[in-house]
Amino acid sequence: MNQDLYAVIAYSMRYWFLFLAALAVYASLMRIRRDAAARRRVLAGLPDAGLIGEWAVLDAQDNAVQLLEAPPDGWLGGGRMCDVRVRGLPGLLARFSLEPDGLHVVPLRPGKMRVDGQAVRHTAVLRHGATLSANGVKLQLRLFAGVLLEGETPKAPSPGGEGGVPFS
Amino acid sequence: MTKKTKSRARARRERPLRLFMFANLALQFSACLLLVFSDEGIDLVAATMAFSLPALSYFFIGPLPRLLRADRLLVMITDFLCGLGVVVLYALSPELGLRHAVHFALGIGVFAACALCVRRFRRFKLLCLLLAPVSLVLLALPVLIGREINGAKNWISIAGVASFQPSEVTKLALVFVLAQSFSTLRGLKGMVPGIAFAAACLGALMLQKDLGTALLYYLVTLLMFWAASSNVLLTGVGLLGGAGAAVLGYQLFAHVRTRIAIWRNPWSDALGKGYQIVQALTAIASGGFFGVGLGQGESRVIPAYSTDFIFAVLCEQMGILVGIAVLLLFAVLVLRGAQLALASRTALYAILAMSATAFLGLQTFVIIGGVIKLIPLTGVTLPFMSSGGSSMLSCMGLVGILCGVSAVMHDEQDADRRMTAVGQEEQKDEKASS
Repeated sequence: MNQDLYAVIAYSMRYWFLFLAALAVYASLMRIRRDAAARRRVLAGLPDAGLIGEWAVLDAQDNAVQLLEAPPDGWLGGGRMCDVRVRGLPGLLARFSLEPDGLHVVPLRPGKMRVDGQAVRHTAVLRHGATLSANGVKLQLRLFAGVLLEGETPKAPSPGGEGGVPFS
Repeated sequence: MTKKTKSRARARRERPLRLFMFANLALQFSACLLLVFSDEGIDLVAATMAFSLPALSYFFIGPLPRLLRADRLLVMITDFLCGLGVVVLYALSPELGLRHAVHFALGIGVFAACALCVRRFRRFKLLCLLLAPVSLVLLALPVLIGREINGAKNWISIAGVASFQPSEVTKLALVFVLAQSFSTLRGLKGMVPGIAFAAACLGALMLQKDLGTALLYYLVTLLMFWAASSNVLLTGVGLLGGAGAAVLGYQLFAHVRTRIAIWRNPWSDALGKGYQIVQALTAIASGGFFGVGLGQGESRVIPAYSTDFIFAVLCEQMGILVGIAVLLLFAVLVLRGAQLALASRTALYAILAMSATAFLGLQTFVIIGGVIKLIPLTGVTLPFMSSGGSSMLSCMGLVGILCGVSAVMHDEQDADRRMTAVGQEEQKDEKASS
């Protein structure tokens, strides 16, 4: 093709390419917006999404005085940066993470924490109902019925209403 | 929500992606069709590419993300940038464009491999134990047997046929090692292996004199350390250390002093050391808002026009407005990656997503900032657009990692929905029985 003619065509097509680039940007921003709205709708129907259960703060008579959300992974302590923040605990007490065999809890300082009455030096593995205590504060881990750990089988739902969640 | 309302809501949500897909395929087809006539005769290779490139793109943005449960927006943006890179490089030199298209096709394989790896293997300890020593050996090779290009000894030639940059491949290893190490339950003690690996990589890169990549590695490691530990004091110490190293580098290395002097005033040596920046700025200015046209202009006078200065070439040929659109797409890519990281339920996936995003975002900022004289120039490539197989493969790998994290999130949401649906069925049964 004649180079002058090509130059004219290339010059004209600049606007087409700009339009396509602008369309791409517009589409990406719209998608981000609609994804955010869809995510809000989905999470509204799944209030416990991302959680594995709850931590119950117990009083001297082992009654639950406060219930806190239990994420699968994070820091436990009294500080603002903690994922599970409990008044009375040291700023950063322990790091926890859900593994197939239970909730692994690693104290920042050995011996400052007890699990089911035993002092923890390295790692403690908590299952449903385990208690953790430090600085006079006692917590109990309550896992959701759908969180199945190694060695557990799904429980059949009981007529009373407090059953396990059967897996299909 | 009724079935009809749900399908309407889904169609509404899909509309932006359909528009984006149209923009991608139309750009590639029309640009390649234009390039068919860029020479005196008919360019048959460009004519073939006018159909094969959109077909490859359609596979990448259509069936593949559905198969991998990948984030379709990330894939669309990646495809747009890669396609744009192919057409701009082809306009400069058909051989460059064709090679970039081949690298794009190979990159799709790396993308899929990384996405599957992240989704299938929920633990990366064994992978890191394998990747870390292999990466360190690869990084040491250029120092021993590599060839020097533009003052940096960071290339390895394979049987004289191909060459690659180990530092690009090691990026992926660093992402996995940092995620595995920094998500440890052991606090700062557990982070030591990750920091040691990053330090070893930095040492090797300094020996190679690849300061641009070293800067990226350093910034990403520091950012991930801060994100994982929230330790402001140690992060500040790291930042001060980096600043100190930069000052030391300025005192010790003449080429660092030259780069800073040229950044401050490239016109002082416009035909010598400042030639590259001056030509790049002139190219961007001569393109104006809309550009001089694809295949037009004098982009080839810019040294390293196909690698470090591809952004200047893009601005000259397609205009500053398209350049701004590309910047916005990179910004959306980084935003999406950050959203994935914040929405991740475990520290491992959060750090994995954040480090992949940080690499892509920082690399883009560093190179574009250098080209437009916002910051001193460093020798890194523009992700997805610059010519270079190693760069393309590593960037596609990073996007693959992000899409893998996105797939894991979808799997977790499905599990939540299943549990909620079964729980709701239980409640219905209880109501029916009572």
